[in-house]
Amino acid sequence: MRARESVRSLWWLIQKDLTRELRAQNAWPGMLLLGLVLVFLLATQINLPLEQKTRTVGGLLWLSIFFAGTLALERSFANERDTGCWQALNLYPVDSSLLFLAKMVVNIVSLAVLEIVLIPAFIVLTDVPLLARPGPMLLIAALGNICFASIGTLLSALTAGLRFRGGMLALLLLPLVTPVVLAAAEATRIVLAGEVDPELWQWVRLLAVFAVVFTIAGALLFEFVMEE
Amino acid sequence: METLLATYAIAALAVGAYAARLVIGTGRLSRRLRQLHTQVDRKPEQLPAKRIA
Amino acid sequence: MNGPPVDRCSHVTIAAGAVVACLVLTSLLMIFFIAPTESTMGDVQRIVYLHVSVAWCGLAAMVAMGCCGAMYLLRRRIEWDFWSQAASEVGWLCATLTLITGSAWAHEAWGTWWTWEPRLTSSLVLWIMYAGILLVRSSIEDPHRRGRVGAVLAIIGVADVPLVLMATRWFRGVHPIAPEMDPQMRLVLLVSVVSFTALFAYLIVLRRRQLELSELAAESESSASCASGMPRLSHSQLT
Repeated sequence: MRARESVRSLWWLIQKDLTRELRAQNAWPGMLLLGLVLVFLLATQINLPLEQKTRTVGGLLWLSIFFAGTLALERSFANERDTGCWQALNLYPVDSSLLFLAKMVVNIVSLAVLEIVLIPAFIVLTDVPLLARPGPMLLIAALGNICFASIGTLLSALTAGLRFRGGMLALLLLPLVTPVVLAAAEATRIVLAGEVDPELWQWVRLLAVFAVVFTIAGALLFEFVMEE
Repeated sequence: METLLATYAIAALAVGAYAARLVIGTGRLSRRLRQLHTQVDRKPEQLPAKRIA
Repeated sequence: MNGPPVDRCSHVTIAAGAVVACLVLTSLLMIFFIAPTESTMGDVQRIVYLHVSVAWCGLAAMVAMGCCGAMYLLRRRIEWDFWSQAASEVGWLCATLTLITGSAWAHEAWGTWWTWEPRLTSSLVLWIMYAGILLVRSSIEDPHRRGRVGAVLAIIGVADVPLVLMATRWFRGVHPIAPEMDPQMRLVLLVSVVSFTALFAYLIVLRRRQLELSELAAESESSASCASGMPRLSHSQLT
């Protein structure tokens, strides 16, 4: 049955990338190291009373995740370009949208790994109780990951063949994910403030809309990106 | 008042510069195209001998 | 061979240019002499007519870029990419002017050259998007690859702009309210928007024409250099 075959292909593609990452460790070490360096630098700079720190930490966390995550996103296609795997993937008899979804899932996993390391690091270095309300934080992180991964996967495939690809990816990604960074930072600030605020759901809705729009856009546009 | 005039002046300069570039560039291209068309229409004997690269 | 196609269009182009120039001149006269002076800000408030016009054009150019990009992806005719390229350049110009006029306004209204006010913030994001797209386009040599990459970026940009506008508005807790405007001011604003839109649309048409001529010139160069020493090859044999 076609659906079952698609799911199997999807699973195989995801497994291939995750296995390669765990064995060859292309992107994750660099990403984690950059993330930790950023957390350290930012934490040393915000020498403020706890209440003020609580208000700023959300934005700093999401910026660190963005910059470190861009490293992993960039590597997700760069490696395939360099080893000639790109052409092989193009010939693989599977819908390009499945290729996109597979890469997107792998990038979501990478971002999750990054968060598992960075959030505790922030808690330790700044004393801000980021996980005081784990439910909403998990929701924000999950939606934020889907948003970054969707648009990041599409753009990293697009820039993989260009000159100065790392720089181009960050330059293109930054303005486009402004709504995500704003929404995630504000939602985190509201969660940390401890109130049950209807404004929180407004931001969560924005993240959800972004995630849906860019997952669909990515799946549709990926075939044009894969054309080379 | 100065801010108002300065703002409009900057806008006019920017748009004017871009428009001027367009007009001059298009003019040059049209002239070049006309040159190329006359060159191509000449019979082979009339053209200077050229080495094939 | 036919005469060069360039001369056919120039009369229409000049006439259209004259119409656009008249429109812009009319709106400038209205902005400076007919629009009433605002009570709180004085004459400086007249910046708003230019600011709203270029801001609207910046957004419209992004939408145009997205549509032309989509048409290129569907039809694969390079002419659609010429429109997209022209729209991206003029759009960047509009975005730059939006930032300049917005900053001037902020300085007069609030005493600071920059503020994280939703309109300024989203204009900055739009400007960076345009700059990024232009940079990426300029780094690609192959015209069809450039068209494809440009089209995907433009479509993503168009999808993103509403989200950016929403996010920046909510960030500052500002909800859109139509400002109270004197009917005479509204008229002048309408005329400004129409005339500046016509101006920027005209610039886009001119730029597209230039890109088309540039491609024709490149093709003619290759056939001319062949004809001077060899039997002339057809275009399909050259490419």
